[in-house]
Amino acid sequence: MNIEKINNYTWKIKKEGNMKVPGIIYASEKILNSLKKDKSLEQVINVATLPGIVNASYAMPDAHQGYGFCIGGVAAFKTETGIISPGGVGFDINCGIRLIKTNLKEKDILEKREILLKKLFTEVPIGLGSDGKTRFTNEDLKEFMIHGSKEAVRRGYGWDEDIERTEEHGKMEGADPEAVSQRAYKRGRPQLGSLGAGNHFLEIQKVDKIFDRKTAEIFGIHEEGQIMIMIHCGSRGLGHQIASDYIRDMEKKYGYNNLIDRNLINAPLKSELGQKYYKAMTSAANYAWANRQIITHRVRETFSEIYGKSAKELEMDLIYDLAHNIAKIEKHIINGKTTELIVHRKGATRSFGPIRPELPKIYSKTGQPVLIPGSMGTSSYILAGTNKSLEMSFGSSAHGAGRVMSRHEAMKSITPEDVKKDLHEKNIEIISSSRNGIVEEAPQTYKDIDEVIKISNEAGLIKLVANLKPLGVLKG
Amino acid sequence: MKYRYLPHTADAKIEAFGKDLNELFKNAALATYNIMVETQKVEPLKEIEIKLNSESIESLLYDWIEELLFYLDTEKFLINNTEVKIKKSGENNISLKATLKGDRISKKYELGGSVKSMTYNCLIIEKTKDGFRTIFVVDR
Repeated sequence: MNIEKINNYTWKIKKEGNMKVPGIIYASEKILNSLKKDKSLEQVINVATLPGIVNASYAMPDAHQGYGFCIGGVAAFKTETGIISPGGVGFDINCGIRLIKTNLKEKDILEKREILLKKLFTEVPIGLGSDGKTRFTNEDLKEFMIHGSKEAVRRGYGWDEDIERTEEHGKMEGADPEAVSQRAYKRGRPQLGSLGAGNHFLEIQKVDKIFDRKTAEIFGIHEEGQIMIMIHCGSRGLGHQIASDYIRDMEKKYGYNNLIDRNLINAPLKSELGQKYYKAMTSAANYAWANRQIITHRVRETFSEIYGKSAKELEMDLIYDLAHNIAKIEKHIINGKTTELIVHRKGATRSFGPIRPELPKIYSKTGQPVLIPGSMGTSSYILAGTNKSLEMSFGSSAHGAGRVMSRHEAMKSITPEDVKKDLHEKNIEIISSSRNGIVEEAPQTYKDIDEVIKISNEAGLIKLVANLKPLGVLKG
Repeated sequence: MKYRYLPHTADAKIEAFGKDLNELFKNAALATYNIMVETQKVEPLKEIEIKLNSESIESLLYDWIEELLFYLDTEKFLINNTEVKIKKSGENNISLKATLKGDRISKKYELGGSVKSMTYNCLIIEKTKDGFRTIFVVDR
């Protein structure tokens, strides 16, 4: 492997062998060295061999080893000649982040923190085997898969203004519930409106530092100490089942013996199977947006009840909702020519700058809000997308801190009591549905988010706006 | 040893053993479920019958773990134990019949982490001098 240093934060894996394009890694020397220890770089190279890929196979500053594609991987393929790969999207289709603002202050939360967290824990189903609070039929599910957040808002789960502050307006075109298997319906139907387990969370956070007041003001961030609510979840069992179904269908159709890595299975986007997966993936993406919209409604109701004011009075507007596991058809300039691409972002966040037409009017001067959560004891960041990122990574950036310690190792060396005590000392309270959940997601099991953000900022993928510190955490 | 967990940063890498394929698949299932619950503490109150057909033994393991996760989501089913019978019925056709014994998720059981999906990462199944061994990674 021939790695060339382009600048302090950019590394190039030169094209060799079957690679159609080079690999580009956005990382510090320290992070690059940690990537050399697992299969991340090998995975960047493997992706560079896939049909129709343009520019480069990219790894974001939080990259780590995934399946086929690395997590924190971005790759774009020409829609005419390229492929679509379920492994390039991830099992949790449209896993994403949503941030809701309030006009509450830190002291308001501290006064009612315990009762607020307990009430949220009963209103937002969380943990292994959790189901949503409302029973939906298959017909309902179809509507959610076609119309996403819009369907949720139509049914009263939210406000009209939420729609434009959601990536794709909460509804990707091209969904077809007929492309979704009955098994996926069966898994997804009861779970709509639930957070799930693993690294998914709901956090009450305070604005800790504002780096760019002008942009922050446009986003709705007015002062330090202002309270925000961050939600991280995706398409639950529905998305997992769709990924699994199409991986097997593509294997049956195209075989896997010639693949460097079985997880790289793919289909030409324009093929029948490629189109069918795209329709199913889009259905799952819309389900995930509806899911986060329904959860938003429960959060607003809970805050409203605890503080005795309506959610409107509490100014609980959505700041933004974005996907970080998805493949999307976008137009980008390749060799001076506008080209239609299918951009895979697996564990990567879209970070479009002001010039992109997709942005809502309110953010047309700032670039889109980019939301990157840290681990539960550390900062999360609000950033703004840049025009420069369009040239660097098809407008993409990191999505989180990335793990450094395995869950298994964490279980051996950390106790839930230790984690709770540490967090308590930092003025963070946590409720989790399982003792293990607390340990497995302990702050020390993740990379330093500040480092990931510093690299992303200095490389130009994003622009700093503000950071957030948690006060209360709900985990699966 | 029935199974053990190997180091893996983001997910769970499982190594399972068995004197034959039946036992190998049973231990692979127990290893997967023990990430979520202590299977020994799950009461064997209910049974689910499973039938699968796959083109290769590796694909059959993938389908098997996926099937367990399907019942976890749809029936909230936690396993205590399972009986597995694997039969080769042609060049590219291997079948599996199994009975899952266990109970639905409830407050009785302390739950641990979650498993989202089976993957093909590092997936191997090989013959050893004592029987069979597999390594596979589940997405968490």
